[in-house]
Amino acid sequence: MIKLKRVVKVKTFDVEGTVCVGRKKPEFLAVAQLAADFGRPLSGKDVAEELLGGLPTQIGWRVIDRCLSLGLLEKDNNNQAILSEIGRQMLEHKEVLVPEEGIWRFYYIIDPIIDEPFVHFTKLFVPNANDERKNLRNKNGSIPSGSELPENLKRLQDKDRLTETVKGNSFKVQCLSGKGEYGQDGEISLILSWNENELSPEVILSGEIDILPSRYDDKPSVLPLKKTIPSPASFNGISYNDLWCWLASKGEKTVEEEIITWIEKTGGRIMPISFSDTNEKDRINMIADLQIPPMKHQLCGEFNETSLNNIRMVPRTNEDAQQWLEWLQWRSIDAYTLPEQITHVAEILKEKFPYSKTEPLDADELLEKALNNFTDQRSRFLLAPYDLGLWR
Amino acid sequence: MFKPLKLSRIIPVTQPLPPCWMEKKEFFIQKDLYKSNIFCIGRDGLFRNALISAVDEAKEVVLAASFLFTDEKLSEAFVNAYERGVRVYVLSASETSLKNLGGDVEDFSARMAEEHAKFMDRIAGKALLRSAAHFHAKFLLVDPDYDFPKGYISTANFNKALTDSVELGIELSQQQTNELASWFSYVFWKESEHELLERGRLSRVKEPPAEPVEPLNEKIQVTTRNNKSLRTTIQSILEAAEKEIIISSFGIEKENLITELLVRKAKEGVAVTILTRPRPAVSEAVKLLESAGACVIAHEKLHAKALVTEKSAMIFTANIQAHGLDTGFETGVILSEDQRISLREILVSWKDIFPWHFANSASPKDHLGKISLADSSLKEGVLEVIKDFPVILGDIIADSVLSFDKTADPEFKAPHIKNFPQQITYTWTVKPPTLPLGAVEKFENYSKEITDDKGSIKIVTEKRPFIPPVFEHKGKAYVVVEKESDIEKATLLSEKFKAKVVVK
Repeated sequence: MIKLKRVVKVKTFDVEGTVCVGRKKPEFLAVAQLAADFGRPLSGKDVAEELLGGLPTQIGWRVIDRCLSLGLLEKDNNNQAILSEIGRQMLEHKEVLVPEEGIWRFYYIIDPIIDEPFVHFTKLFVPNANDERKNLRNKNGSIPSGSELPENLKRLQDKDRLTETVKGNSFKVQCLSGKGEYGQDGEISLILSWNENELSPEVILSGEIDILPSRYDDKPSVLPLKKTIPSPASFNGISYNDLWCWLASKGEKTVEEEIITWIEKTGGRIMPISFSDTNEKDRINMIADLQIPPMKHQLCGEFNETSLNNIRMVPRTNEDAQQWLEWLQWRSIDAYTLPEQITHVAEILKEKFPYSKTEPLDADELLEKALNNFTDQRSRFLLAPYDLGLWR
Repeated sequence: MFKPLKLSRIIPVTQPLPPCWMEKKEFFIQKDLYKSNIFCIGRDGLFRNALISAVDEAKEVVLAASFLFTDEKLSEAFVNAYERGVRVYVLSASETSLKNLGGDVEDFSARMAEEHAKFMDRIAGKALLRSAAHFHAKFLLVDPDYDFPKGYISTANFNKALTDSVELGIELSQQQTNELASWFSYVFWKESEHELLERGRLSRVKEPPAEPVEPLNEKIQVTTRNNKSLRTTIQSILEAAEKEIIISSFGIEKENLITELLVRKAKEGVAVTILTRPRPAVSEAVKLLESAGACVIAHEKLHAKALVTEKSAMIFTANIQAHGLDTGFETGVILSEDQRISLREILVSWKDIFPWHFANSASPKDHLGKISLADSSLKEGVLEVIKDFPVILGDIIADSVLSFDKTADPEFKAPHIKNFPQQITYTWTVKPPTLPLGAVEKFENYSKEITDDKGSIKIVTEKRPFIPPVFEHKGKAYVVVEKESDIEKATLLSEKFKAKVVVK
């Protein structure tokens, strides 16, 4: 499992304009549904009979006019009302995009692995024109001239129906003023998790977003966010193995090419390592957690420090393997022992190094080591049986 | 005239003394001695120095066993040896067995147990120490099975006894050293209970990685769980003795095969000498041995265990007790003829100069001086056999002045005396009886002729005192004498009046 994380900035931009906001409007959706069911142009009679319980046909026509203005229906070449493409989408999402005018705050993230930058939008509450001017007045007392609309906001006006990340609300930007104001930035976490059995990683945005009031009696609030976003397009063409090798090479103990060579040699994700770079626990288990410092991927951007856990380790060279084997042999002496037991354990330990050429120490060599390291508490496990008659 | 008569009587005490240790007058000073590889331990520390030097010279291995260790110099030598790369192995008593020792063991106290624990702390991680409740043997082996092995068996624990107690040590031959090393190894693997892993941490020992081979008893005799060669060897040596047995042991049990054998040998006429320490724990055994004819001599610091007959000799670490000869880990070595002669010299000298001699029922006249009762410890108080104990009896009032010098002796009742006198001198005073208060003088009537005014002669009766005077009191008559010359008349009056002759 690969786990990566970074903090991303949530930028805000306040701008005046008309935004169609997805609302629950079952009465209009019913008209769209009727148009979809009929599969032909709707008449005022159809609506009056089917939906209005036999009210006059004229009322049916008025309903159709409203649906035309909401975009649920459109006029065909014969000037007859039929279900529009947007209407089909609204029907599908059971929402009607209702145009609303006002000052809007858009929350968006600019990040290489976030394809849909708009995480949220909200309509700001402005009590009156006087307050509005005060709000816009900067510290110097002059009314700011405003900032140009960010590019991604400009592009929004060309898009059909969109969905914001935080609440999943639909919206469509109908028109925006050319200028607006940048608001205060926030921060949230971007967490990328990739299970080796999955084709693509899962990306989660997690954190809190500060929300300004949208009604006069509202107070500023915090909106919790934890949403999985669609797999980023930037990961197309990157495999789990590619990312694993790249990350492992950032662990400062080996280079990517060497890792790839060992993977090809052994058929498994494996980490070649020098004996001197291992700690006691890793040497025993031959599995380690590789700590990776903060890194930057060419396509995916920067990530915080992370770790690759439970990596199988192999000694980088035969010398490393020999040192490692001898270390394990010494470590295995945890009770009084005899030459035949030493030989037996040596055979088992040697099998831990199938890719290296090693020669375990024999009993006499280990005894010599014990004599030279008599202060080592393990030495007694060899010296006592030797000195006290058991080493026959 | 009639003065009180002062009398005395000396009565020799014939009642034998209770079973006790009688102190001899000779003053014993333990001196260092080294002869025929035998060390007689003394204050100069000859044996202790030999042990320390051996450890200092160790090149490969040191094997040490002692019931308890507190000798600082020796433990320092162990640590120094370890720091030179010498492997040091130690067998000692378990802490539990040290704590369970009774107060009867005078060379050991709670302080010693504490010092033993300090020793363990000092060598933890440096020497490999194993302990068991039954480990009692004391020996030191240096570089066994290498070129220049050295070995010593000690009857002394490796503590202040190395200079302070009456102990023996023996330097072993190469073969003895190597054989004893095999026994050390065997017991290390087979009979140890705990192992000192680090300071303050004793853990239970696990099964050895292989079964050790039990050594043969060629030069070394032992007591282990499966081997009682020490007892059987002592038995054989005693059985073969025809003239003389001298045996030294700190502890001697009455109910023990060796004790029974010593009793039998003594009864058969073999000159049996027992050297021991005067303690209540040995009292039952020494009573039995002495009554069988053994000579029992003791010293309050004796701890040596050795045996000499006219044919053989041994130095060993076990007491004459089941815990030592039947159970425990003990060791001993049979001596060469030279060594036998040297050991005999030592033990005979001890016999001569040890301060305490045991007797079941000695006559007080045979000893003058300190004794210690067999069932009491020396600490509880030493008693004394004294020459004379004077007893002043009360005055005796004679029945009559007439029998003043024939007054019967008083009853000579022996008083309660803490010590034991050879004789008791009783003194008393015989006093003449006196006239009781309120006695009334008695007069005699007599007739006499008188001539009256008219010149006629008349016979009249008159009263006159008796000579010597006679008195009466409560119906009894008393004749009072003042001087010797009154006696004759007083005798007559006494007869006449059935009166008691008294003084005033």
